[in-house]
Formats: sequence, C-alpha cells, structure tokens
Amino acid sequence: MISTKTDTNDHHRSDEALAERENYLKTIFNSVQIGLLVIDPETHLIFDVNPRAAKLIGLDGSKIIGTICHQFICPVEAGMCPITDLEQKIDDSERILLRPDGSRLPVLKTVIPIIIDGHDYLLESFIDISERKFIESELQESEAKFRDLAERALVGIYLIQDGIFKYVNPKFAEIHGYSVDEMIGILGPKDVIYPDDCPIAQENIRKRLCGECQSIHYETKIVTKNGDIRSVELYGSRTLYQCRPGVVGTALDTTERKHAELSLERSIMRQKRLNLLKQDLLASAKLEQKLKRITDEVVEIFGADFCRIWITSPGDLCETGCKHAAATDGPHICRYMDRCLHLISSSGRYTHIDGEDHSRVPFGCYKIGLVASGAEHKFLTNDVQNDPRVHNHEWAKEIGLVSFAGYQLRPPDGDAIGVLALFSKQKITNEDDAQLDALSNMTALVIQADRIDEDLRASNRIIEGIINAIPVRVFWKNKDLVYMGCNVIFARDAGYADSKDVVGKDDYQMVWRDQAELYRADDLQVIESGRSKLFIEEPQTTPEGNVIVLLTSKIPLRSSKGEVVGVLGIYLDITERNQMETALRDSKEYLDKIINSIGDPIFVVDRQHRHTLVNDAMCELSNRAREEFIGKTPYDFFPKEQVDVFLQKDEVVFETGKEDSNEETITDSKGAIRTIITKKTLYTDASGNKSIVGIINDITNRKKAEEKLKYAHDQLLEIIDFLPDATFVIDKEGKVIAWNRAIEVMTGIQAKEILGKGDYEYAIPFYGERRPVLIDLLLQQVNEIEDKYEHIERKDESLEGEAYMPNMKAGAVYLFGRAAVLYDSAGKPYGAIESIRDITERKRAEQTREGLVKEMESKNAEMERFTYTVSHDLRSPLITVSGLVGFLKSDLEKGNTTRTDTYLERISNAITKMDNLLRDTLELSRIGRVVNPPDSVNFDDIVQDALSQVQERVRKSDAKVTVAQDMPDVYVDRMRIVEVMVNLIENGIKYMGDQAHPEIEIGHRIKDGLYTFFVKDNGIGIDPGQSDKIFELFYKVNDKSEGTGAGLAIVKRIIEVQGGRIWVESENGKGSTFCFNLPLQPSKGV
Amino acid sequence: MEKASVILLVEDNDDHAMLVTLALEELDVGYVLHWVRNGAEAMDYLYHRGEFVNPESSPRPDMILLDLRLPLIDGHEVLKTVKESCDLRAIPVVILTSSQNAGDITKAYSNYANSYLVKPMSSDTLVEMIISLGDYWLKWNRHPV
Repeated sequence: MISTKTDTNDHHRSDEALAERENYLKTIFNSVQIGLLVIDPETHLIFDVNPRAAKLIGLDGSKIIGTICHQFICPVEAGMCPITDLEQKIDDSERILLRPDGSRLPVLKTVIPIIIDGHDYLLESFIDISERKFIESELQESEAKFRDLAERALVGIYLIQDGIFKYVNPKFAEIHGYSVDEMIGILGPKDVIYPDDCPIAQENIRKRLCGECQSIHYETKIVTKNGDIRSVELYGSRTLYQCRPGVVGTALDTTERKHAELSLERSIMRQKRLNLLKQDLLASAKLEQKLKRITDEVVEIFGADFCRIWITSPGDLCETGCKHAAATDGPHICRYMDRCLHLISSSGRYTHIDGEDHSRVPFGCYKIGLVASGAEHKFLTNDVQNDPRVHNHEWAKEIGLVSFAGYQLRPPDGDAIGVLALFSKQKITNEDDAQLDALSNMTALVIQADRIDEDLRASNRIIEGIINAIPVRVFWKNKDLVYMGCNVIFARDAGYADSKDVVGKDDYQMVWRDQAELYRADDLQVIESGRSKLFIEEPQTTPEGNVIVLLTSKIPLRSSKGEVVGVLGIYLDITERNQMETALRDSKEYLDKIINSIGDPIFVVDRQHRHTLVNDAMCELSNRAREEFIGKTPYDFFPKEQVDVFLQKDEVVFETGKEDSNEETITDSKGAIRTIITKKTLYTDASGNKSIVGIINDITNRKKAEEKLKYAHDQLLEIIDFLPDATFVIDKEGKVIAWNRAIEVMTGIQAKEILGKGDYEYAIPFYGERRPVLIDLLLQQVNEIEDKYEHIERKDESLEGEAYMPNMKAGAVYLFGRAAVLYDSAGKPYGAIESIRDITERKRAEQTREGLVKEMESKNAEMERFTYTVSHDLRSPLITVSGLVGFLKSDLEKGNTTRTDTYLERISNAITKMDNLLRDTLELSRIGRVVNPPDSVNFDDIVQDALSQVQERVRKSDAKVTVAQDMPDVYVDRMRIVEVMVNLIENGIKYMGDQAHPEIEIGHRIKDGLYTFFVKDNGIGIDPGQSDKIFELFYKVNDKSEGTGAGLAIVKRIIEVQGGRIWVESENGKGSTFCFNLPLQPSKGV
Repeated sequence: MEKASVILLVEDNDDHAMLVTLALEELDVGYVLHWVRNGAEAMDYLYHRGEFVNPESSPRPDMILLDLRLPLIDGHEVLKTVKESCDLRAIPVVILTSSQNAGDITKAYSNYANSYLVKPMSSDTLVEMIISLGDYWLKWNRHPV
C-alpha cells in the first residue's frame, strides 16, 4: 500500500483529495497491465505487488509481499543485484522473472526509486515480454534459418542499397564469378550487369526504390568476373535495411535454362517440322514425291549433308541388270539374288538417283544392304572418318563428314523394305538418332501404305474395270442416299457422261426423278433394317424419256465396325427380258388356250409312255385332273387290254417316226366304251428326246349316229312307202332313193324301175321328158320352171306349187306338190323329198268358187255402180219432166202457150228415155244374174248369128263386113257372145261418121300367147282419153245420139262374165278396133 | 247502162239446158247466156279455141254453171282446170248437177268449186235457185277486174 503524507486541513479537503488521489492511484496500481513491485532496496523485501505482477509471478499477492526478491523473482543472487550492488540502471532492460514453479519469464524491467512514507523504495515495473521474446527467438531462429537458407540457396540472393550490394549470398556471388567478400559492400549492379542492359536495370531499381512498383522481375545479362556473359533472371522488391530503402531480391542463372530452352525450341521446331512432314506424308501423293520430301526434310532438319532412301522390289531378280550380281567373290557377293535395293530418293549434296554404283544395291551387301537385310537394324557412327565399319574414309575426310546413320525401313508387321541413310558434318545426337529412327519407321509406313495403296489402287482398277465391263449397273450411296460412286454404265443410265458426275447427287437429280421416291424408300428400308432387298422389279425413266423395267438388288454397306453406312445397288435392265417373258407367256397362254379349246382330247407322252401334257378335253374324257395325268402312263387310267393296244401303236411310231391313225376302243370315266381314232405323231425336241403327240377323235357318237341314221333312214323309207300321197326322194345327185306305192300308182312306174336313177328320171311320167321339177327348184334356182308352176310358195323350209298336168297317163290333172330338203344330222342337205297330191277336184271346186266369188264381187260392184248410175241417170229425165211441167204450168197460168208444144214433146221424150233406161238397166242386171253354161262353139258360128241379126242395118249402111277364117273354138255362152257381136257391129255402123266406104272387119289374132277377137271399123274413132269411159254405163259421147249408152257396158259385162277382157284400140278419126278375148277351153294349163 | 253479165252454161242434156234457160228468164239482172254441151267445148270457150276463138262472141263469163257428168271432158276436169288457171280461177264456178253423191260434192269442193247445187225436181225451186244465183253472184258479188 502506498500512502503519502499530506496536510489535514486542507486535510479534509486534502484528505479527501488525497483519498481520492489515493484511490485513483490505487486503481491504477491495481489495474495496470504492468507488473509493479515495490521493493525495499535494503532488504530486498517485496513491499508491494500489484495484481498484474502477482499474476505474472503466479502467486497470490499476499504470498509475495514480504519475500525477498532475489532468487524469488529475480534470478540474481543476493549481493549481485544489479541496481543496488552493481549500480546499474535498469531501464527497459530485459530481465528474467522467476516464478515459484521454476519457470523463467522474460520481462522488460524498469526500476526507479520511489519514496513511500519517507522511505526509499525501488519501484520495479515490468512487462511480460515472453511473447516478444518468443517472437524474437523465433525471429532469430528464423533469421538464422533464413540466413542459412540464404547462404545455402541455389538462387542468388542480394540486397542492394545505395547502389551497392549490401548483402549477397554465395550463390549470387558464384553466379557472378566473384566471392562473397569481393562483392559485399564493394560492387554494385552497375559492375556486373551487361552494359547494354544497365540502363534498364537501373531504371528497375529506381522504380522499386521510389515505390513506383513494389517488385520487379526481369531478365538481364551479366558479365562475370571472367568476362563470360550469362543470363540471369532477377526478382527484387523494395525493402528497408537498416531503416533505409533498399532492394532485396533473388537472381537466377538462367543461362543453362536458356540454352535448354533454345535447345527445346529447336527440338520443338524440329518436332513440328517432323509432324508437318508426317501430316504431309498422309496426303495423297506419289511415293517418290513423298520419299523425296523425307530426304529433303532430313537434310533440312537435321542438317545432314546428304540423305538417301533405298527400297526393295521383291521378286526383282538380280540378273535383271544389277552389276553387283556379277560379283562372284568378295564381301559383296549378293546373297539373296532375288531382291535389290533401288535408290529412290536423294537429297542434299547428291540428288541423282541413277548411277551405276548406288542406284541399285544388293540386299545384304554394303552398309546399306546390311542394314536393310536386318543384320543390323540401325547403324550409327559419329566418327566416319575413322570408324572401321565405314569403308571409305578418304571420301569422308575429303568432304568433311563426321557422322553416318542408316536405319532399316521396316513396317510394323513386315520385313525390311528399305533403308534410310544419311551422312552429316555434325554429330548425330541421341535425340537426333531417336528422331531419325522414328522417321525411318514413318518412312517404312509411308512405303507400306503406298504399297498397300498401290495394291488397293491396282485392286480398285481391277474392280473398276470389272464393274465397268459388266453389263450390270452398280452404284452405292451413303446413309443420306447421296450417290458416292457408280460404274460408267450406271452413269449413262442416269444421263451423265461419267461416274464422277453422279457422285454427290441424289435420285431427285437423276433423269428418273419420277421413281426417286420408290428407290429411296427401298434404300431406307435396307439401311434401317440392315437387310438386303433382292430382286426388286421396278420401273426407271431413261434419259430419252422411256420407261424400262429393272431387276434391282440392294445390299447394306457396312463400316469396319459393322454399322450400316450406305447401300450398294446393282440392277439389270430386264425390259427386254420382261417383254420376251411376256411374249413367251402370252404365246404359251395362247397355245394353251388353243390346245384346251380343241374339243378333241390331246395328250403327249414321253419315251416311257408317261404323260407330259394333256388338254382339258383329255381330262374330261377320263374325268381326271391334269395333275393326276402328268408323269403317269395310260395304265393308270384305262383298262390294260386297251392300253396294250395303245402302247403297241406308240412303239411303232417311236420306232418308225411315221404318223399313225388307229381305231381303238377306250373306256371313259363313266365306264362307257367309246370308239376312237387316235392320230399319233412323233415329236423330237432339240435335245433329241422323243415324245408322241396324240389327238383322240371320239367317233363313238359318230358311229352311233351312223347306225341311228341307218335305222332312221330305213324307217323313213318305210313310212314314205305307205304315205297316201305320191312321194319320192332324191339324193344330192338327183338319184331317186325312194319311190312310194302311191307314186307308183300315180305314174305307173314301179319303184324298182326307177330307184337309183337320176337325171330327172322322175320328171318323165309327169312331163314326158327329163326336166327339172319342183323338187329341183329347192336345190337350184331354175327360173324356167318357176313360171310353169302356179302359186309357188316358200313355206317354212319347203316349196309348194301347183301345176296343171295335161299329159298324165290318167288324164289331165291338177297336181299340188310340196318339196323339202332333207338334212342329215350335221345339218347338211343330203337329198330332197317331194309329195304330190291330185287336186284336180279341189282345183275345180276352187275355180268354181273363185268364179262364183268373183262373180259376186263383180256383181256387187256392178250393183253399186249400177245403183249410182241408175239413180243418177234416171233422175235426169225426171228432172226434165218435173221442171218442164213446172214451167208449163207457170206459162199456162200466165196464159203463155207458145212453148207448150215444146214442153210436151220434151216431156214425152224424157219419159220415153226413162223407159229405155229402165229397160236396159234390167237387161244389164239380167246379164249379171243369168248365165248359161258355156259350151265349146266355133267363133265363126257366133259371128254368123250376129250378122244375121244386124243384116238389115248393115245393108242400110252399106258397110262392108269381112270375117276372118280359121276361127277357133271358144268355150262360152253362145247367145251372149252373139249379143256382143251384134252390139259391136251396130256401134261400128253407128259411129261411121262421114266414112264413104264403111268397113267392118271381124277377126282374131294371137298376141302374147293369147287369143284375141276384134271388130274393127273405119269410122270416127274414139278419143283415146275416152277409151275407158265408153264402157261406162249410160255414158254417151253425144247425148242426142241413139240409145241409152248402156250398150258397151252390157258388152263388157258379158265378156267379163265369160272370163275375158274387152278394150278398144282407137284414135280420133281413124276408126276403132274393139278387142276382146274369150276362153278357148274349159281351163288354163296346170 | 250496166254491162250484162255473161253466164256460161256447161250442160250436155238439152232438156236441162232449157230448164236453166227458162229459169234465167226470171232474173232481174241483165245477162247473156252461152251454152256449151261438153267439157271440151267448155275448155274451147274459155280458152278461145275452135269455134269460140273470137273473144267478142265468146266473152269471159261472170259465172259458170257447170254440170258434172259431161261427155268428152268431165265436169270435174273442167272445174279443176278453171280453178288451176291463174287467169280463170276468179270466175265463180257453180256446180249444177243432178248428182247428190257425197263423193261428187267432196270432189267438187276439193277442186275449189264456188258452190254446189243439185238440180231440183220442181221448176219453182229451180227458178228460185237461179234467181238467188243471179242476185248473189251477179248483183252482190264483187269480181276482181
């Protein structure tokens, strides 16, 4: 405790102030981090201690107070206290503080005397500098290490200050060629740095010193003590040395490194060049070019004097021009005799590759040969001038060559193929050697590659040759379906001149772009599936625009790893083939059709009688399918006995080669036995194989038909024989083949007399002569006879006709004939048949009926006309009478009688006329109704009758009447015709007119085979236009003339009823000829 | 003075002609009657041939009374010819016949007869008929010039 004296008065204040001060001080005392000890200098007893000190000591304060400091807290012995005894001043002095546990704590002590309560004490204050001390010792250690390091360092370390090296380490000195002592404090940078570099160095130093930059690092050159120039790399930074700025740093001797770098660079450059060479060698070029490049590079890179490459040509026989081959003794006898080394490249001093001695070296001889042959893979010497293995020292010396290296060129998996050799004026280093060795391997590879390439090329050429020679198109595409190559003919198909034009294009750029999609689809399929697509038939458009057919196969192309990288396609133009095939198929189909459409069974058998072909009809015959036939013999289908016959006949044909037709029997599928005629023909094919072609003509039906026919025919004849109508049959030649009983009766000719006779024999009984009759009309168109028949009618297939036969044995008859053609089963006419019926009675009846009908018709017509005419013509006079009566009456009423007589006369006349009209009308109708049966009478008789009746009038008229002679008989109603004649004669007279010599001629004539009678006058004639009218009832040309005009109507009626016709031939003023014809006989010809 | 109408009568029966003549006397128009006996004469008249060659003595009729049953050239023919002739077709042709036959009537009209009259029994009727004819065809009817 410290206490100090003070006044009490202020004591109070001072006490207070003191207390305060004391407090204050106490606080300080207790809290400062400085250890404080108060020690009595006399006793060296510790009076007071502060907590800090206590802490530092490591004891509680109470334990400390009162102890002697010596050997307690201070290691110094008693009596040796530096302060009291030695009177040292301890001020910031480093001392040790002892601790009870024995440890020593370094402290920085300061001792000052103080007075406490009048007593002198020593105040020790100390601070713990253990840490500092520790640091210091560390630092020292470190410094020591550092120094040690610096001393031992392999880098130079320096310290510059004021331009002088204040410190250098041994290395630094060594670098500069000085000793450490020679440098420190003596030399400075300017002394060692290469003069040219000095300014820079100085600058750098300055920069650092002034703090422009903290540290610098640069390279510079220095000059050593010996004057050598070396390079150093300097690092340096600003520092303080002895409180003054300086530069401290390191220096590295980079001279070796630089050399090494240079060397490396050179080496890298060389490597680069070698790589470039390698690269270049990969490119495609001629081997010679490549090898020349190699030798050139060796000269360049390695600085060789000259470099050469020899390569062997295996199989190259020594005899073929090698001068060494001649050697028979000596060390250079060629041992191999089958391969030589040929100089192929030379660079440097010598570039020629021909030349007697070196262009060709025997394998195994000379250095080169030895290296090549493998006795030594490599030969290297750096002392050619003296090396005993080299044999031409003189030459080497002369040129100044130093080294030689020869390397075998051997590809990794083969024999030596050559040598790379070089001579150099420098030594060949190991590095060089290694590189040259590598180069030689590369050369070997190049050669091998070239050889492989060459083989490949040769191979390619062959392949190309092949693919361009074959008629098949070949092409290949990559995965993108772009053409990578093709043969020439494909290129042409595509419309390009050359294969290379195709490369790089796709199908859309080809002339067949229409089919592009199709092709590409196939390509993709092949590529994706990895499977080939073979024999695809597809269309292709040609450059000309046609479409042809191809047979294409597409195969996937694989890489060496097996992946699909493209597609290879080949195709053939099969258009023609297709066409031919189609044609062939068509032809075959056509033939097949023909064969199968033939209704007769056809078969082909081979030499062993096995069926090779059958048509449909054959299959039907035996009711088997085609497949069942092929390969089997007939024994499988038909009974043995029948087949034996077939085969026997076959054999004959096979042997003789002659065609054979044979009637045979065969049993068909239904078991029916058929009769056949088989025509067999031999056929020998191009290979000489014999076959028989057989056609079966099934005549079973024919035979049956024939029999049937015969039977039918006989039946027919029997039927014909019993027909009631006269019937006969003729054959095609007109010979009578049937003559039935009825016709025997009709003609009186017996069948046996006429059968088999032709030449119209059958006409004789009818016509009395040979001539075609109705039946002949059927088969021929014979015009003359058509006319002889009435009513020829073709009904269905037959001909019917009627004829009048006046000359038959039995008398004149009317015959009706019907004839028809007879057809055989084939529909061919084989004859004709005629049936004849006596229809005289019928005819007569018909005629009568016809006559009656005609009459009736005519009567009806007449009646109508008549009715009309009469009603009209009778009316006329009635009108007259009635009218005149009326006028008469009216006149009489008026009292006019002048015309009365006229009226009455006319009335009377009219009435008379009416009467006449009625009378004639009756007459006419009577004629129509009443007909006397006709009779044959000579016309002349009729004429005479008529003339006698008109005799009076004739006489009166002075008309001369002439009558013709040889009047024929007519078959008429006599009285009527007499009437006709009377009328006509009267007319003739009536219409004489002014004729001075009236003549009337009565005659007859034949015209067109018909008999015509006429009454001709030379009177006034009749206007031709009136020639029909005059025959009309009551027609009068002149009303006033005599008669009713009914005369000619009556005449006409009569004639027509008799079956004749009447007309007039006349001209005005030239007289008239009334003509008519009459039946001469009962009926016309049949 | 009005020109007298010319009437051509074609009639073969002279009794009938007389009747017509007598009836015509009752006409109150002036007329001149020419009578021919058959078709041929009628044609000759109209074409001024033969005895009718002089047109003055055979003037163009203003009306033709035509019977059908005529000798030589039939009434139908005459009608047809007249009506086919450009020159003559304007002349009214009145058929005056005893025929009541439907065929005749049809035929007449098909040949463009202007009228068809059937000769009546009674003279009174005839007179009436003729007077009507005269009135109509000669007094009222207009002819082209």
